[in-house]
Amino acid sequence: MRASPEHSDEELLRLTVAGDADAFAALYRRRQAGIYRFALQMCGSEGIAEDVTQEVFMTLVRESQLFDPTRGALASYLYGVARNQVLRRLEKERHFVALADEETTEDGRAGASNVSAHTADAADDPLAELARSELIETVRGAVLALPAHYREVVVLCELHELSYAEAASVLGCAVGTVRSRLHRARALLVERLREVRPHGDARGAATDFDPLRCFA
Amino acid sequence: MDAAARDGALRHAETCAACAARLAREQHLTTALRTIATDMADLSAPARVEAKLLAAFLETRANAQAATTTDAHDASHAPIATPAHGAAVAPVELSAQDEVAARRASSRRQTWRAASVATAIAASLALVALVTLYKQFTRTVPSSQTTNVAPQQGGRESTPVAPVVATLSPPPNSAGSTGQAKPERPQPIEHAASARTHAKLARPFVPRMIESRQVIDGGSAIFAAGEGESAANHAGGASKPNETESVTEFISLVAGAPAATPLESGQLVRVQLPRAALASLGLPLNAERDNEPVKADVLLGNDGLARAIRFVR
Repeated sequence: MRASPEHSDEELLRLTVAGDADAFAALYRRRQAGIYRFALQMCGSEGIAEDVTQEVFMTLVRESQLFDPTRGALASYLYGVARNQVLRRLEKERHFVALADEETTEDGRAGASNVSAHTADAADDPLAELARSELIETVRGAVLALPAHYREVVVLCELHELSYAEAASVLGCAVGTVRSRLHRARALLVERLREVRPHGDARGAATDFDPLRCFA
Repeated sequence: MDAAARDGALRHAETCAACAARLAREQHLTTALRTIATDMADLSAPARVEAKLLAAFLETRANAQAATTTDAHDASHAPIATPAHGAAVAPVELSAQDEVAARRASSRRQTWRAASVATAIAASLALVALVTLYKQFTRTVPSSQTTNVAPQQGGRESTPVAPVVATLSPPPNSAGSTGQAKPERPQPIEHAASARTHAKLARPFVPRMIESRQVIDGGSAIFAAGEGESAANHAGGASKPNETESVTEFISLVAGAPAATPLESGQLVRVQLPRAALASLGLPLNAERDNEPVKADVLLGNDGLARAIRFVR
């Protein structure tokens, strides 16, 4: 049986276990982007994201018997493996301090990363694109500054648009836990974005009003 | 979210400034997060990752095939159970759960097999280490009897020949007559070490044995006061000092100094004594070198008692 786009993940995995290299390649091409982005959004390093992606699929090759289809989809399993790898790497890198990027500009702010740089060329309005890039960088920085257990919820539910149930399956926790963590994470993000918003920002003028909580 | 609740919340936000501000903040955050998601949607792992993974996959598959071939070769030599008469042999389609269970069981078997091999190797290494240690231990056990020779009792109680640890090694030709088993291998170095240890514990009065003893097979040797040199010479010259050393006459340590004391056999032990021992035996003492020890040869009888002493320079 040849691997084809119509095959489900589980079928491709079964073919992979049987030794079908095409099935493995098809499975990889289908799932690698999500895993890579997840790792990149979790740790902010392209090198680590690359390593994590490779390790996730190597784990699938070596220990495919660990995947239990009765416990969830293969995509969730892959996200779970990626999450464990990322957390391990973050724990390992915790004792190191990141040096400033070589592309640091004169005013000390890090230059636009590759993530946003590749979209700048396509912009028609340079000023709007600049503002957009700044916004992306700001939010990315705020997401990366979140504690890991909040960050992973934001990445899965907001950036990868997984449902609460799928996120709970990846994280191995209850759906209610996902909800509460996401709520708390969003509150933290709002706080941090307000802190970094420059004064006189017209867009933020309406949202800067912070009265007592409304119980209506 | 319920549509009615949503509409009610929006209507409330039009009249409530706090909720309006909160809603604006949340919408702003959602927009920003969607912007990031859109911006990163095209990102994927570099092509080299796929190349590496494919190479690793092919290598793994090749290894698995090699292992399968080996297993099949082994299985071909095993007895094959034939199905019962009339029973149809059909391929069994395993369900996904069965497959997972089978894979886990296989993984468990492999783990146990690896653990068994590792345990066997560790046990073998431990056994080899134990045998080696046992051999070393049996080599270092002294094969001859060690005793503590008490200082000589009698008229010369002030004799500085303190207790020494000496080895009563029977003469080579008298092992049968004494009834003791002949030692397999004399260990003079170890006995010297024992003597040194003993001397350290009894400092500063205990002399230190600095050379191994020499067995004197006296036979019918007669030792008497003043005749020590001849007795030593009778020992076949074994007690001859080095050419660079000069020795005194043997001085008897036997109480009462009888005219003739039979000495069947004995040992000559080189020891170090406090220099004051010279004075106690009536020999001149250099006060300037009072702190330096003096070497001496002590003649021990086969009863373990010191019979005579001579000093060495």
